[in-house]
Amino acid sequence: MSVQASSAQPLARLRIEHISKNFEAVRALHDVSFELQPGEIHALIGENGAGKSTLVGIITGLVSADTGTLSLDGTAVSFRNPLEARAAGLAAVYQDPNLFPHLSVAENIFTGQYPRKGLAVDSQTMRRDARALLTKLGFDLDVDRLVASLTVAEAQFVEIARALSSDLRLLILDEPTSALTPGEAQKLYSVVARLKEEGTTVVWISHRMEEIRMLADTVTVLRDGGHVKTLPSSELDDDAMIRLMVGRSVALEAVARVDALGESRLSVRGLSVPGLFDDISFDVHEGEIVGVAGLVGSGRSEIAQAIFGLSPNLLGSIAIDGAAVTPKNPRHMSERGVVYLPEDRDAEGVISTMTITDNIGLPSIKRLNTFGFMKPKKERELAANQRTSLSIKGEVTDLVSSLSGGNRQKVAIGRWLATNPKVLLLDEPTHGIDVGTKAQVHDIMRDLARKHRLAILMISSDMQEVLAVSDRVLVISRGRLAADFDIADATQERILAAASGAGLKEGAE
Amino acid sequence: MTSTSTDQPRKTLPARLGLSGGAAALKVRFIGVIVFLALLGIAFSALTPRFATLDNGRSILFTAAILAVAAVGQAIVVLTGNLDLSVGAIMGMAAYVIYDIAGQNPVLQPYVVVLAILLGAILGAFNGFLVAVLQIPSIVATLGTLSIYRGFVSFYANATEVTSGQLPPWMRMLATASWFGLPAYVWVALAIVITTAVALRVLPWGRKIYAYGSNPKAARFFGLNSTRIIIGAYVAAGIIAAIAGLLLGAQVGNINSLLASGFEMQVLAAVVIGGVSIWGGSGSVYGAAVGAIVLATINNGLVLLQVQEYYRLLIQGAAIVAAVAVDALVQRRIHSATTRRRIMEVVE
Repeated sequence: MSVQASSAQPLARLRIEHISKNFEAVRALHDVSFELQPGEIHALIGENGAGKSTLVGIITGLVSADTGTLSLDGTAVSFRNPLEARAAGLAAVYQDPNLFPHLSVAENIFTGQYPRKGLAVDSQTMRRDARALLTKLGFDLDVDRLVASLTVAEAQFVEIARALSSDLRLLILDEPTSALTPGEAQKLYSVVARLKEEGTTVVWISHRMEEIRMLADTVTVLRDGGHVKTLPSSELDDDAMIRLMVGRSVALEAVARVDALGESRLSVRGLSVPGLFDDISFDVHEGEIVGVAGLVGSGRSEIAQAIFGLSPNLLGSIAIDGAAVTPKNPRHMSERGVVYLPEDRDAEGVISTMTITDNIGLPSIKRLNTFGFMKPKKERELAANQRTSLSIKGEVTDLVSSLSGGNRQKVAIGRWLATNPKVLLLDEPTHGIDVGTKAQVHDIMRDLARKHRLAILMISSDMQEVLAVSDRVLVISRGRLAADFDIADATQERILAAASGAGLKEGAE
Repeated sequence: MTSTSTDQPRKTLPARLGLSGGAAALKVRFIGVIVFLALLGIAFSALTPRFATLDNGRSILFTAAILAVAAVGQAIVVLTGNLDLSVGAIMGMAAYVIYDIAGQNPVLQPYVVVLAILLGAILGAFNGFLVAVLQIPSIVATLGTLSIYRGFVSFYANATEVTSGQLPPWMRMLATASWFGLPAYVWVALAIVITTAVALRVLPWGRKIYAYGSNPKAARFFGLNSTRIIIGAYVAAGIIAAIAGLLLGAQVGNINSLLASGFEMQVLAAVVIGGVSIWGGSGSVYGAAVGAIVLATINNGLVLLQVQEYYRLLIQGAAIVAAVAVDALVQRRIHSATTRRRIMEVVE
């Protein structure tokens, strides 16, 4: 491969200079600059939402930067799509395999750049080259198999094979081992080590401390869209990395709980869904807010969804106000007073083409009709009540699509509050909401717990939010309950350590 | 520990049958359609002695020929995950307009196929433009062009017919000719089916159609130009539909402005029964052609049995629903296999 044989002055493989990117009002990256050296394994770390994925998108041409420049081996580059980046020797393997299930392994590796014989695709060369690439990875796979029949690990290796070209200068792997077994991961480590020897720069994005310690030469930390530090990995231990990842100054105000907790409203024992999570037990009491922390993809949302009746094959037991329930489907659970607000509220939480009134009335339709006819007056009253108590901006006749993210979330909460629930499951309740509205949503949550005696389970990636709102914090790591902290014992460092699997199960209970 | 079986690669059906690879999986589905056709044949043969004769076989193939050609064009569009409801209207327009022009200018008579290719490409490109550039859902876009194209023919025809005397004599002869014991149309259909199949298999154009249909989201990561792929599929479908229109026109002789109206339903049925996934990405034009033969066989057998028309509709409808239901199952399996839902490590 193209080994940069001791050139006179050491040129950076990729120099990232002053890259900034905003998605509407959200600042994804702000003035990020650092360098990747030839033939190194460079770990890119940061919390959920620190800007890693956006940066990868910009490097590979999936996303265009607002400002800033990239230079590859000293030449300024800017790619319009991943194919151009690949032609220049840059490739990325994204977190979710993006392959064509109906096509063969060989076709997947070469789609977009088929070897040709005249006008036609040269199938023989394609299959031979595909086999050669896989062999190079130390992976023996029938190139004629359909991708639909592969395991996740096999699909991942197909993607990596796809990324390998004759002149691969930079390979970016985004959470490559999160779906692999330890044995499969081991295989990947040795592939990466081999690529490094050949002079390829590998960017390794991971949350697993042990991997970073073992593999990385250099570590770059991103936080809130900004560059924090780039250091040789030998100068950083786990604690230091975690500190750099979380060290934030903006604080949300925590309000101490004064009222006593009531009885357990939601009790979960030994809850498992094979392959997703295992043996989860906890209680949420009347008037309590329990935060659920953990990395994206650790199984947090799946737990809430299972409690709401969205998962078949559920094992373990659930009790609502002491009465055992086997969740069948969302309607079954909402009739028992359990409500789930999904993370992607535009897709799942509200119906944006309908008015505030219609949205709020929807789950209460049973109460709002006589002999199948809606009672518009009652519906308006209900909506007006929720609007006032949640201080939703806008008239009840406004379309939800005209509201801001924060107000949409309030509508989503309002429509379920109108059903008088007992247990509220919130998935990333303030994701993508500005700080001001965030605090309002937090006040609403506290109000619901303290005054209305609801039990609230809040999944959040925002560490500040978890610490500010929760009475207790559960940490989920790779489908298991890694820690259960009382809020007094919870710190960002301890939560993150538990989430990354650095510590064993600790904490009270 | 949980019993996540993803560690051991589960054997796919083709693998278990001792076949390997992507082509094999298609073959298995293809075999499914053939088996269905064979069962139909056996059933009809048992019910009436007039079914299993050589003449009747020829008659089935002759009926299936035009439908198979149109189904091949439709299959290309369906492979991208879209639909072309305007196929019947394109056939009607091509037959009426081209034969009318050629009837008035006999110099053009040898070139009717070239004219069909041109007209079909234009009409197909317009469909593709609506779907790919304006991003109108294909079912609505082509429902609209169905009306537009059909309306144009009616306007152009002005309530007159193109009579069989105006058609190029060689096309009339082709419609009734028989080569090597089979109707010439059957050979023409076979040639179009094979050419299209080879083009889809061998040309990058064809591979991209399969790739895009299989996973449009991934196509972006692979740098495929979706606009060009979709327009290309509609252009090919338009050309093939226009040729099918010429064939149908020459067969019926006297052409009015309603030629081939409602044909799209038959065509879609053939494609779906033939195992082309309505979600795109899988199936073959051979399957679509066999789907056409299945429909022709059902029609033929029921006519021989002298059953009422509504039985034909019932059976045809049931076959469509069954084919799509099987597809939906396959699609769900593929989806759950390729979506990453495994979070926990499996301890070894």
